[in-house]
Amino acid sequence: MSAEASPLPLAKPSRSRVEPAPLASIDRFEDLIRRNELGLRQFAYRLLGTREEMEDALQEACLRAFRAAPRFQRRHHASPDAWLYRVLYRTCMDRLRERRRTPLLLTGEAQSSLASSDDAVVTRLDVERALAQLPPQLRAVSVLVDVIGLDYATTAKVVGVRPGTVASRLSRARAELRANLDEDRR
Amino acid sequence: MTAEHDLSRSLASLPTPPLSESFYRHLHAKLASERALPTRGVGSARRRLRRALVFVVVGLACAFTLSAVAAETKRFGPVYWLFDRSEERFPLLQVPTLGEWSSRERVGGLVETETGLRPQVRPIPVLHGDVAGKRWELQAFFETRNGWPTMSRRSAPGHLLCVGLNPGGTPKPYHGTDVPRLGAFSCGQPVHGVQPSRGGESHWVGFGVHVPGPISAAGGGTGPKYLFGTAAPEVRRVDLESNDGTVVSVPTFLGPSDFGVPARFWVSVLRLEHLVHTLVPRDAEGNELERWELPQAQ
Repeated sequence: MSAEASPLPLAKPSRSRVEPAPLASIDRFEDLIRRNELGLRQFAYRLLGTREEMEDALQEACLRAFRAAPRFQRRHHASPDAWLYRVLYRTCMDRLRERRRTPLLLTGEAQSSLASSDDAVVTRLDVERALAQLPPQLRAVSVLVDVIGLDYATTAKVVGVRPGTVASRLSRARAELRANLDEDRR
Repeated sequence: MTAEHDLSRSLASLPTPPLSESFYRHLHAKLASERALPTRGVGSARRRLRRALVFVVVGLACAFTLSAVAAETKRFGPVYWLFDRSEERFPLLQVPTLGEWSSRERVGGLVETETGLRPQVRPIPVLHGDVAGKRWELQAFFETRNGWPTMSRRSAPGHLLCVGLNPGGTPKPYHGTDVPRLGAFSCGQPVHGVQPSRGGESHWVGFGVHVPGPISAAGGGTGPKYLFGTAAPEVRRVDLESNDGTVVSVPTFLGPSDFGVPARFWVSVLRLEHLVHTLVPRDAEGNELERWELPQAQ
């Protein structure tokens, strides 16, 4: 397992309650981004499929979040981490909606980075491909819970549904993942 | 369970490309330029516009709904709004602000001609008043013939004093004539010193009732109610005693100087449900001249 893939510290949003003006300054806002960088990258990359789009989406989401930070501080009392994921989720979904780029295709870059021939890599490629074939909403839930390690309640806040819906989506996502993997192996 | 675990582990181990080195530099520049921009950008202007549109649409929908409901509610009827806007302030009585008598070339009776009925034009003294911003008009005239085409109670031949009330607006003519329609009028009521009795009882005051406004579902007007009439020269006030125990004291005022008859007149505006059962005319000293219990409360 790579060092990147360890469960995210973000998964404890309750620690970082909004304090007075934590996001008002650029430095503090960038700290927030850096603290959540790994999870945000994973989320955006798994949803959009390419590094360029991941970066673009992250930039856009960060700008959106920065603009909305004063309103968030006035109105919300939720975790800023979860809120950041929520903004990124909406940004990615907007991009997917605009480009109609589902299902996701692995790019040449991804293929080449996974081009070694050992079994682990092949399996990882299969999993990536199977994950990319999921519908975006299922993929988002699967990435948030299984890849990033968020709990159901935080995931529900990010995707804007109830925790029960997260559970059912996750169950469907895993079932479809297994089905896709089985199909690939046949 | 193991398969589930393996799948989760496989997902968790998926690699993710790093951010480019310039990512934070670009982000910092964008955030800095964002901070330099005015607080309300294009996006917020669009949001404000969208919000305003939503408010307008919701407002129109509410107004439509309210007006639809109000159409069936007396409280929201036009008369209510014209005269007063709350039960508390709805006038129990408003003594009109009186203007001056003036003579107006209007109609009296109709003259029968070969080509049919024609209005007999003659000067009619008119008094203007004002109630809650709505103009009314009291007309006094002598009727000498039985020519009124739609008079419900035909007066006997002779010189009969008629008093009519127009609650405002432009009177429409009677059908087929150019005779303007009065809201209500009464003619020839026997009043001491004004008009002799025609065999019945004479009183110190005469009266008429008019309820303007659209006809309600119950069959009557929606109010308010005008009580008006003539009075003997001695009468200075008319007390209107009502079913709820209230007494409304209405002053009388002199008729036009060139009228030829020393009649006085009175006008009052009452709430529709305010039923007057007794008229008590009083002289200048406040003495009761009569207690006239009306056969039917008005």
